[in-house]
Amino acid sequence: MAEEVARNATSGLIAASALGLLALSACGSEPTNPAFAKSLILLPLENDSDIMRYALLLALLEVDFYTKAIASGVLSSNVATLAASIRTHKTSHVSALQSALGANAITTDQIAFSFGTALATQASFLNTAQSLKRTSVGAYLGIAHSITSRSVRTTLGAISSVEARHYAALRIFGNTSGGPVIAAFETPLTPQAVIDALEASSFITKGLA
Amino acid sequence: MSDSSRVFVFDANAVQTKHGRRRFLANLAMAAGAIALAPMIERGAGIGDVLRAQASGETEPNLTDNDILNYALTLEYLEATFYLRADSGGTLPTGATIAALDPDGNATPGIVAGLAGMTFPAPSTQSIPTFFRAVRDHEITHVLTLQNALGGFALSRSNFKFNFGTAFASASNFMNTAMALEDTGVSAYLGQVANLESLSILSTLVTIQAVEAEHAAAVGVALGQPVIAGDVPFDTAKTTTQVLTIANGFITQAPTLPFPK
Repeated sequence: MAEEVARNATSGLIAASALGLLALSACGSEPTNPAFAKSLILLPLENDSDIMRYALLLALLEVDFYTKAIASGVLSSNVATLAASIRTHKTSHVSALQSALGANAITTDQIAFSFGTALATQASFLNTAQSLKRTSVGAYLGIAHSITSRSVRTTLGAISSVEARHYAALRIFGNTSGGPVIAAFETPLTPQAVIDALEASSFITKGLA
Repeated sequence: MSDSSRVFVFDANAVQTKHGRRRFLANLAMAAGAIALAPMIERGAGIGDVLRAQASGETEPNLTDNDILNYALTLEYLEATFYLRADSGGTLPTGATIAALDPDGNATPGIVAGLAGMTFPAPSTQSIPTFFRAVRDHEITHVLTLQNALGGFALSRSNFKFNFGTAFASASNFMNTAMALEDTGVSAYLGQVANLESLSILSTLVTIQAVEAEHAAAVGVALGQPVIAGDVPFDTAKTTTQVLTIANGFITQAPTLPFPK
């Protein structure tokens, strides 16, 4: 079963890389950049609080992305409806994680995002939305085994499959090769692979390093 | 900061420290655990079971990992059979045969009236029948993977019989039944993440849960509905008892099941 996971992880990483977001060269290694010490997310994630902060960072990124996408006016009817639904869901995920983290939560003044030309057209929106969503799904699946509290496992699991739902819908409207669901198993990503991908994307302009 | 005589005093500053954060989260987890245990207490579980579950955070503490894998296998048998009876064409995943996957139905009727030629809503041009064949093969792959993980402990498909009523009579019937089965699968897997002991099994089952969710969402989009029933932001965990209440609508014969317990 572990082999199965490893095999699928490899194929999924290649697929994600093909989408142009993920940089995988540093996958699995410790961060060495001194600037990383200023990051809101320090690796390795040491406990459930660290894991929830990591999930919160991804959720805040997506809320900002979908808010700007909806405001862009470039989305057609069905895609705009999906984007609004995802934005509402992600806003609830942010609230739930902030509430669970209390004083330890990341606050909106600690971070800033910029998506450049990613929101110029519906096509570029759909491409970037899929890359971000693929990264988020992989992030949740990659940390499930590291969670200490069993009830936190359930809480994050209830978010992770909603992320997967979003991903399938985005693949449908993006007419993505391979169809709405690409394989029998989704692909976990390590926290290092996710943070590397986010750094490579330059979408996070404040808070990562 | 770490004065052990102040265990239940909440100190915002203490949360900033690693030790304080751990204690805060432990209290948080205990509170969340108490909510999760309410249904157990309601249905009259013994106090020993309740206390054991509270200590560990498990919602169904008597289930072993093999019980959970057989529970997943039962649901995957149900799904694989359903999709095989909707579409028995093409090549099945390596190692799969109709005789082994659907001994009580032989994959009949093998077609759903009205499904051919359907595509997802604009701007998508993707084929809905092509999607459902992929779903069929995913569910068959889940069956093979779970059987392989369980080895000699796997429940035998030959001891089950399934009946899906009028689910294949129209595209609408078929897709609505598909969505119900997939949503039930998501809730079933989510309901067991707190009960697994093996972290490697946990890692695999969450990747299946995600795929069930993707299937459910895609069927929702095909039907012009939200990606999740009610457009809510969280999936819902269900117990083995809650899931069997739904699944038993399709299961006409089953062996003695090692769940719920």
